[in-house]
Amino acid sequence: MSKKIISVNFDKPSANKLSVYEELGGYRSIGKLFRMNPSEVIEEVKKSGLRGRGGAGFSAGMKWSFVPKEMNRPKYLCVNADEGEPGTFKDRKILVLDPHRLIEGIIICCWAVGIHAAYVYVRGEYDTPIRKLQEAIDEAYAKGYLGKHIFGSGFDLNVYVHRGAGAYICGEETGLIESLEGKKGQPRPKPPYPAVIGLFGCPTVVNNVETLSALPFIINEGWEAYAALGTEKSKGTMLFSVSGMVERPGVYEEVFGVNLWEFIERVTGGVKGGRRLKAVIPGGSSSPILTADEARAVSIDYESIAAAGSMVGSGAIIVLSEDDCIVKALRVISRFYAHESCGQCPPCREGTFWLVRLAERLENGEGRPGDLDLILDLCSNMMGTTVCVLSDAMALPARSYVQKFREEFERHIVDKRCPFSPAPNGVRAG
Amino acid sequence: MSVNIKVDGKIIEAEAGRQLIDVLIENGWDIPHFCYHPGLGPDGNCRMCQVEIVTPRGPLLAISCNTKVTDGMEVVTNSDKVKRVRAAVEEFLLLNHPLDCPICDKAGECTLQNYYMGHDQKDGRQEFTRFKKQKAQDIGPTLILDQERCVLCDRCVRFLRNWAGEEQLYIAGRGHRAFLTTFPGKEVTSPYSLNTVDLCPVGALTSKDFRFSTPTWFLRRTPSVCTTCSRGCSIEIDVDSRDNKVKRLRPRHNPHVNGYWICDEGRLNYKFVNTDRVEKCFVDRNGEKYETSLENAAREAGTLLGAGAKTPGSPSTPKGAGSSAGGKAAGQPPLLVLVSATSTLEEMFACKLLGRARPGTTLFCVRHVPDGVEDRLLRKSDRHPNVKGAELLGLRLADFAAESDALPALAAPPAKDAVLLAVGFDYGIGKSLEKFFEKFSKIVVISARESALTKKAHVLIPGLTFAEKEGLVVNFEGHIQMLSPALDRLWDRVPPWQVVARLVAELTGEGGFDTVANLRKRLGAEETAFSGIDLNSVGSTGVRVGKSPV
Repeated sequence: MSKKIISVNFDKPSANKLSVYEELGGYRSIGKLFRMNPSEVIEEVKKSGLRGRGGAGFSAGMKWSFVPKEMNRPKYLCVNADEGEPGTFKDRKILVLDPHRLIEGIIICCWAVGIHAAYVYVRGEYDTPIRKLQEAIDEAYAKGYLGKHIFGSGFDLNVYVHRGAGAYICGEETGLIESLEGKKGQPRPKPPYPAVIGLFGCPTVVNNVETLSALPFIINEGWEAYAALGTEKSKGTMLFSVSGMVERPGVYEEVFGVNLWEFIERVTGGVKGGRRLKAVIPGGSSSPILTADEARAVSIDYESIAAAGSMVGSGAIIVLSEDDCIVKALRVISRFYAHESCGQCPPCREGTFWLVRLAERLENGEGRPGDLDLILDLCSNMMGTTVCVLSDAMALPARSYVQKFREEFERHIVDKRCPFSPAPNGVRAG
Repeated sequence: MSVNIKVDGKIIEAEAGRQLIDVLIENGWDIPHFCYHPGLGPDGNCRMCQVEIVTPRGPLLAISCNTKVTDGMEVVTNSDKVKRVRAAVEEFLLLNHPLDCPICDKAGECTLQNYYMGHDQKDGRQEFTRFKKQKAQDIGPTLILDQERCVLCDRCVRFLRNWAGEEQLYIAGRGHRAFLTTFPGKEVTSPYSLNTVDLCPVGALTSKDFRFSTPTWFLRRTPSVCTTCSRGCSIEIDVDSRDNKVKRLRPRHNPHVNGYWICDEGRLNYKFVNTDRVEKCFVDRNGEKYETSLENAAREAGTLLGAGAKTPGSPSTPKGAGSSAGGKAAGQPPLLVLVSATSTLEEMFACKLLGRARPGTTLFCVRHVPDGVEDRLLRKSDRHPNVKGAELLGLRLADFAAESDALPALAAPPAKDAVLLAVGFDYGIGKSLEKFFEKFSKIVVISARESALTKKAHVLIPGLTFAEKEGLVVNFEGHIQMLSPALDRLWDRVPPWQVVARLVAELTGEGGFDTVANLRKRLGAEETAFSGIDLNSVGSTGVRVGKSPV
């Protein structure tokens, strides 16, 4: 049942080497690509239904078509390899095991949009992926697949690797661009969007690693083959990073539309040690939580998960069992967002600060009855009012934890301790 | 292109492509904001200026500082959602804000305070320890920084980097731990640094000069003009209503002269108003100074200046200033009138009338303050506010500004019995001017402040500084602006133009001018350089010579 498009080479030894990659059919799309008109390529990608795999899920082809056709400013591609969303670890696989697929995808995108310089922004912590990627790029240059007149075509393309320095906010597209420009990675107000004013003030496409890695298949097999997979609004496949309380956490590629829990059980062996399922976070820590019942009832695709009140996001699935404390989960993620907030706007920097304090207080058994409604009010003040969506990424899930697991929170308040911790900790009398 | 937009149900006209916030504020809507400033442009980080824009998907929040006006746009600023957002942003800003109001300079003119009263007014819900940062940091010659108060609006950073051209402040750190600071080992030294204190919406950046000086609600503000250089920036003079002293100067927006800013030098140049003042009239009798009334002093001065030439209706010397010693009546000593280039048009014109009334008068306008730094922003090297005014009046200039031994413009050393009338040398006199004054045996001085000159005066009449008088000055580009008196004047001090007019009356027997408005009318009528300009209504931002009122 699992169709492998992106991960097809993951189990092939040395697929990261150019010669092996080509033996496996790599770079086959380029010949066909250069016989297509750039606008034809954009149409092909639009019709395939490919959506961004970084978290936003925006139509890739449509994003490319927003780039103005003018010729007086250079255009840029920024490959988003910051992979900062907690629970996500699939782009690193591509960089380590199949980097040439990404390079092939970069060439396809740049031909389509008229781009001659691409920057791969990789999070600084990814030592090995960066090394493997750079090796692959060097191989490509050596063979004339990158640089001047790539593949003997007359089309120039340079690809540069840029290391991040430890900030989740640099995975936000305008934060990434600011960081590439040498400034603090603080997101810009939008509009204008990067497609019009982006890197160095020029039209810029920002695409996730996995999104670009799907392009060779689309060019080789045609948009119909890609669109034949998945559901009406969610075409193709996605790499799902499954972690948490499961027997076999890992990266698993699946076609959109299968039942969420059925998929998880099938590929990971289900909840670890036979525990009862409690909740599933479907799309990274920025997505609202699903109860066990909801997870069993929903299928993995953008429409269905959205209808269930959550999102596909980066495809990072985190499984929680009966032994996991939701209040602790709130504390864990709120510490993350408070640490990563860039600090520009008051709702986010102060809101995340406040939420951490409240979550810690609740977890320590010092929560007060009014805290829950305060959290809900605070969250709604943080949503839709900020420069970027980090604030929403904190507030939406936080709200879902309190709404869907309110009893658990209330138990913490009433019992004045966390019922899941093995021993009473810091309990005050009375 | 002019388009129609709808705001809260009302149709207004606006220029397409302009920032929505400007259009709203100009049309009377109160849109709260921190990070936006018309002189700096939008930044988009404070989120306070959000309004709802009606779209096919329903009303959506957008920041009005970064939204351009388009035809048919529909805006809502008074919905519950907008009100909630404003209260929410205010609450978030107050979350970690220290409760410093009782000791904070900004109290009374603080945006955070004002917006709390205007848009929030809810009880605080924050019970956690506020995040601690550095307080009362000395970050340079002019500024004290309190990091806890800072709302991280980035205005000061953008001002120094984009306008003043010297990036000396930046926001370090991330999230709620972010803090405003200087670069390691460096200070804020920009000569425009104190504009950041005006810009700061809270009391994070305070002026060392003004710190703990006066609660702002005691300050009485008067629009006026800076007189430190020939740019003539529009300012407001803030006077403490309790002790009638100038406590600070601040910029006033004038798109034709200085924009939104002033330099630190001009801003801090007000203390002299409160020091070394000439308070009373004095006459010299055989080396002894005697206090006297203005009446007596004026009569004595008249005698010294006129010395026998008092004939009503006698033919005066030809019109035009700077008449030389030719045409001198018999027995009359030559009179040299020197009016400082820091004086107003009215004072200079009155001296010109004096010159005409008294044969044998030589009139010069004097530059005597040493040249200062000139830069490409606001400061001019010429440290006199009204040289251009003197030129337009046709006065000859004598330049004593460069300290040198060579005797400048004045034609010849004065005769032994020459009389000197010196008007308006309030800003100090240099060595060469002091030596020049030594050559005179009879000196009449109208001056606001003591100096080597006032010590030599035979008749001394107190003058007024720029903070106390009404008068016109013309900047180096020919822009005319009006000084306004900010201090209550004491009953026995009369504006210098009126003193000179009195002297004219003493000499000719004609009445002096009754009002300064009439003096200006005569000035406007007689001086061709000012034709077509109503000098009695130059407006708050002034008028350019050669153009119609702006």
